[in-house]
Amino acid sequence: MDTLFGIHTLFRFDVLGTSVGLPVGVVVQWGVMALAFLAVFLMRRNAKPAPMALQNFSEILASTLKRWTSRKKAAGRAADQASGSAGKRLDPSPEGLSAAVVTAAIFLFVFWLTEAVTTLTTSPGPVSRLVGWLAPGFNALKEQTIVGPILARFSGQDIGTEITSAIQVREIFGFDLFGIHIAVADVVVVMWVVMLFLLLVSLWLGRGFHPVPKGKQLVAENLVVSFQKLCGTVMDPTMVEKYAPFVGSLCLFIGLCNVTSTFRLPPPAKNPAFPIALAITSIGIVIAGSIRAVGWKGFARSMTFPKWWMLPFKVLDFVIKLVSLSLRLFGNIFGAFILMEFAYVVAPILLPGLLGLWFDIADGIIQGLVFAYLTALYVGEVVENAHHEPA
Amino acid sequence: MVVGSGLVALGAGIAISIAACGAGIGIGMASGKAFEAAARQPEIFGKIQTLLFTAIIFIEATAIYALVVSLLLIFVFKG
Repeated sequence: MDTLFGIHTLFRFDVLGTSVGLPVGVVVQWGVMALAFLAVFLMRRNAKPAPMALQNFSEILASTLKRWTSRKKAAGRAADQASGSAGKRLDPSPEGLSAAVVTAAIFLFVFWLTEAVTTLTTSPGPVSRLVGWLAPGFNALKEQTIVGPILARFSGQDIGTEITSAIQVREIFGFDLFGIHIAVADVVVVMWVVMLFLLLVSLWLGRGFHPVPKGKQLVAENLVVSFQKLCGTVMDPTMVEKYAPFVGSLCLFIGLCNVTSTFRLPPPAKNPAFPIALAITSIGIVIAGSIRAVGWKGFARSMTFPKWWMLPFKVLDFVIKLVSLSLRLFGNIFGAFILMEFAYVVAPILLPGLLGLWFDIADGIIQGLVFAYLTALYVGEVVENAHHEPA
Repeated sequence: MVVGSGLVALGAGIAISIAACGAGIGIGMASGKAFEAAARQPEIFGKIQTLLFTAIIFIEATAIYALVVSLLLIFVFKG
């Protein structure tokens, strides 16, 4: 099994001097998710009574599933509604779903328990022995999750030095321009990869539109409409068409950049230059938008609205928005990155996969959404003020 | 300036803990009031959700500032 910075990975290769790999913890996380989903899908038809606490959760799941499957089964449902009796048959029942969830949870818990107990006491557990290729992973789990090695790591400088070395930005390549050395860091390369990915996906999604939406066009239209709705909640309806593309690109770009940490690529937002540059762009768009909407004179009037001495405070308002936007993104992603590094150092197999569900994936996407939403809010607010205040 | 690394660690811990207390209390009060309002008038829950989201973002920002400060203390101002 390959290792990457001391972390067991399934494969590893070098791109431009940076090592990229798929950590075992992430594979475990995907496996858990896949098992849970598989169990839910396989057993959703077995109607059995389940604990009351799961009823609401499974009803939500059932309605989601119903929405997913409604397109495929539209014809069948129409026929059922015509006959008026058998409509229930096609809907996934909440009881079956909760039974599936309980079964999956029990199965996973028993699986984990047997493996954990046996790996802590003896050699690889029964399931690992059965599935021979899992054994190296569980051996590593045993080596690195027993209390002794953790305490040994805590007592020394080990964790601190490893995390400190992980947060350094490494230079991939550089060149000299007019006597100034321009270094291209690893986070910049990650950003380029994300940009290329977004560009290709957008080109693919934007091709071959048809009056009757189908397939990928539905995805594209839903994305665009959801960003327009997001903008519509905070700005004038006439401005939505103009600013929704910018807000949507911000959200997708930042969200994808943050999600890269799942693959042990450094997230660009851990470098403070990235959020600061994005925030400067956003505030620039806000100022330019208000100037475009009401002209230079209107903007000047809005900056000095009730009295002339309000000018420093209005300028300060923009500066504080900039600092707040950039520090929010930087603090969240940098904190999550350090926590994930800590998890990778302490228990490289199990902990990163579980923590990563929130700190790598959900938190990153939420921060992208928040950044885009706040930009839309500022645009709407400033342009509206510039319109109304001078009166 | 020479400061013991123990003091730096203490400072970082105090910074983030006080800010987390404040942000937690703030978010709790905001969400509690929002849920009260939603229970009183369930039909405006969508609007309240948007407002709550915005408020939580701004409250959370204070805790993030403290997080940045304590990270700076740990990694830059080592003592």
